[in-house]
Amino acid sequence: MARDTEHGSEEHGSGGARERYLVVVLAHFATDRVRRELARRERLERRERTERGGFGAAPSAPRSARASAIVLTARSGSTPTVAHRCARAAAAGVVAGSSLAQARGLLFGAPLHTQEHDPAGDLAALERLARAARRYSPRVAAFPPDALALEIKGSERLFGGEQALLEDALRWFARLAFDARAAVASTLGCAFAVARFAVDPGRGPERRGLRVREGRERDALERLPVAALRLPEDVLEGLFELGLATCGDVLRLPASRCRRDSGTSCSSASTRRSARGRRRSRACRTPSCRGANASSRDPSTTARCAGSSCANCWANSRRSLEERELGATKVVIELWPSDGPPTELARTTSRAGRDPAHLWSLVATEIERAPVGFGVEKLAVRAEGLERLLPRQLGASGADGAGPSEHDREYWALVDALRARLGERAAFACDAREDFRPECAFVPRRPELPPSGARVARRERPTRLHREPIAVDVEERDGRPVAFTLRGVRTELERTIGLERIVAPWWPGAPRPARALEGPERTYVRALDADGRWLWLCRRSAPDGEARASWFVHGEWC
Amino acid sequence: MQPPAQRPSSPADRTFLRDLAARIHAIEADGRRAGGADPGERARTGRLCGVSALGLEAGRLHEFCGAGAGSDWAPPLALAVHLARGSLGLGERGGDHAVWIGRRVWPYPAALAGADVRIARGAAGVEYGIELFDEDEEDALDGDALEGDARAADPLALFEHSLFVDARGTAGGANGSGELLWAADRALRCSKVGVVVLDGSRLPKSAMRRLQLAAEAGGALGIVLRPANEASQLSAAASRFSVERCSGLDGGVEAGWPARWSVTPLRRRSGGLVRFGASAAAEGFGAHGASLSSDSGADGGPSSGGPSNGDPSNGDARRA
Repeated sequence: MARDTEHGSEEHGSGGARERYLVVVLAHFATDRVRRELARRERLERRERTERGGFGAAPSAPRSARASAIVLTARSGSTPTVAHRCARAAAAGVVAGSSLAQARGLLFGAPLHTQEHDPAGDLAALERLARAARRYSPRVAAFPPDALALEIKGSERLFGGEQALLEDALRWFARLAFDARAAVASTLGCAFAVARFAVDPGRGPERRGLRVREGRERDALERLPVAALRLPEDVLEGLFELGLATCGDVLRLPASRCRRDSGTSCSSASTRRSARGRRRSRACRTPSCRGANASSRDPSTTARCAGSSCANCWANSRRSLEERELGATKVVIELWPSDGPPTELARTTSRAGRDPAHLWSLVATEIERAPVGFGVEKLAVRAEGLERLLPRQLGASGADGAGPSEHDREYWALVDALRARLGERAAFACDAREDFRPECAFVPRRPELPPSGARVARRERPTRLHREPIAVDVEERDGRPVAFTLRGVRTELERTIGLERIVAPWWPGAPRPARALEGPERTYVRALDADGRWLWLCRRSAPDGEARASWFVHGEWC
Repeated sequence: MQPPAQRPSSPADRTFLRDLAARIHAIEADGRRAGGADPGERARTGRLCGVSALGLEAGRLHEFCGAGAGSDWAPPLALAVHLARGSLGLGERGGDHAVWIGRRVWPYPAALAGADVRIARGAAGVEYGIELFDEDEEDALDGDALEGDARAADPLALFEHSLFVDARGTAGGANGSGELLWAADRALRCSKVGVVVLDGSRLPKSAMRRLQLAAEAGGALGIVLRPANEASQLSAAASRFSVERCSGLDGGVEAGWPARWSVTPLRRRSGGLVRFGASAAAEGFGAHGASLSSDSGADGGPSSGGPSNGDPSNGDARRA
């Protein structure tokens, strides 16, 4: 059971008119996520083995994800270092920042899983988790890297009170295999501090919750370390040098003295805000523009009906945008099906606009494909990425001109439509990168962004470059290729010209080449074969550990 | 909030302005469909442009069947790049875009900013080859003979105005509604797109008809690249050409470079085959000027528009 703090408890919510925040800290979110993924793969493998071998198949050696310690690495220089570690590795003494070799030494003999840390994946997963947590409150915010905040004022009644909601939430996170600690308080800062520093991690998963009674935030913070204030590192160091170890020490300090001694004004003020609840911290899921949001509570039983409601909502949003002379670059539609988790559909546009026909054309297909189940109880339309959009003269095509690039408006509508239907990355322009290696010399660019201005090297380059170089066996005579064999077919080369040597970049951070072409050096030659094809042959010098060089067809003039 | 002053206040004003805008748009579209100034501009450069040499018309689909088939299919990307460069309104229209639909017809981006191809008359049709790219020739190209050439104007224009579309669905899906077909239809209908190059392998005639209508509506030049083994299939394209490799060691190319191809017209929907002039074989590769004639009776193409300078050696394409 979640327990109350020693500062008091409540039986039926907070009682007052203030917000109540539930903060959930996922202490080992990155490693828990990896563990979940490993467990999922294990399940799939087990299922495949069962299907392949039937019930009589011999079980393979157990390799449980639950049994192994997990260490996520980041590369600093040439040495992989520990970025995150699971509770088991932490108990063994592994700390973030140490080298992977040290971690292996500390965990010697224990099963260990290591892989590279994926911060972007963590962020996306946290966002997904925040959306799923809307089962407890409509106002949820993700606080990267490892925390969620829910404003539960009002919604706790659906669960039988704050305590019941807290326990239910902890049970839910435990079912999802996340190591969660939670706290409820009237201020966001206090809830964060208590959840992270006051909860005993040694308790059972459902007992890692604390509630702070309204008005008792100062007492809750009194004994917590100053690190609970979420201050910058340099400020914390200054406070430690002054001998201020707990939040209570800071709270007892006069504000003027604190400013003078620590060289900053935020520490004492931040503590007071956390304690007194004066600060309305970043509101969870704050709309980017209140007036540009619209929602409908009319139940929709079909996707078409939901689409009609969305169109009405967008018409309201558009009016609001027009009044504010704003345009949106992103439209978000939220659907709350009656029998499933909420669904969010988002579409971005190349240019800010509020043309309902264009924006609707981007989301109409998705709405019709949306899983509405037994019906949608509620839906909302949000306009995000707002930009200034002044009214303009009528365009030459006869439409209402409202866009920063009226001349190419039709073209940008095409780009948006392509991306909406085929995917965000399915329509792109190219940008040059100053790199001699042909596969690294160009990168995709969002069409609405201007080119980087990197110089486009004008060299003899094929019109077609193979994404994966094709390995061939080449016969050499006097150091020149005279024939090659591809898929068992030998082809004579009639002429080879244009020798070009490319050395791999030595500096750190250089883009990685195609896997087949990794090596210190490569040599290109233009070769004319007996069929009249001009091929771009690549000779990769033998890397360490290999006896001979490899040849590939990397491109073709066609 | 005060209403903007420049916005027409009454519905009548709006109607009038819309009508006016529609008329301007129609005039622009007509001019564009007639070929505009593109072939003429290229003719004035002193270099033969593939668009006029092959008699390609904007607002139509044109098929090019390249060498090979299946995984060995080599779409004629150098020619497609050249045609795209010649079709963009780099000079007066500006802002036009090239759309490349289908992974197999994406050229390596360096080719968009690199050396152009040179068009010449051959024995059976038009030949073209990738130019040798060196600094000395670059200096020579900046001379009077190439004044006004697109490369001199902005060699990176095509590179910066190209849009690559990854439409993986089969062109001729079971119900003809593949993603590639949809993307091509949408791009061809966009009036701001100058040229659409698409992977047309396994494209049925019904799909080609749909794309032809889209091209007519939008006014873009549609270039469909197909494998050689599909040259015998029915199609609704305005013209069809076969592109074949020439041996690099004949024709007096001692250096073994540039790579060369020949373009042979197979059919022309609006009036039979294109015939090339009898004196074609007399001129070697790289010579300027061509005397292209066609027994097509169609009007309104870029060939019929002709260059305005009247120079017979400037690559003018005349119709018989």
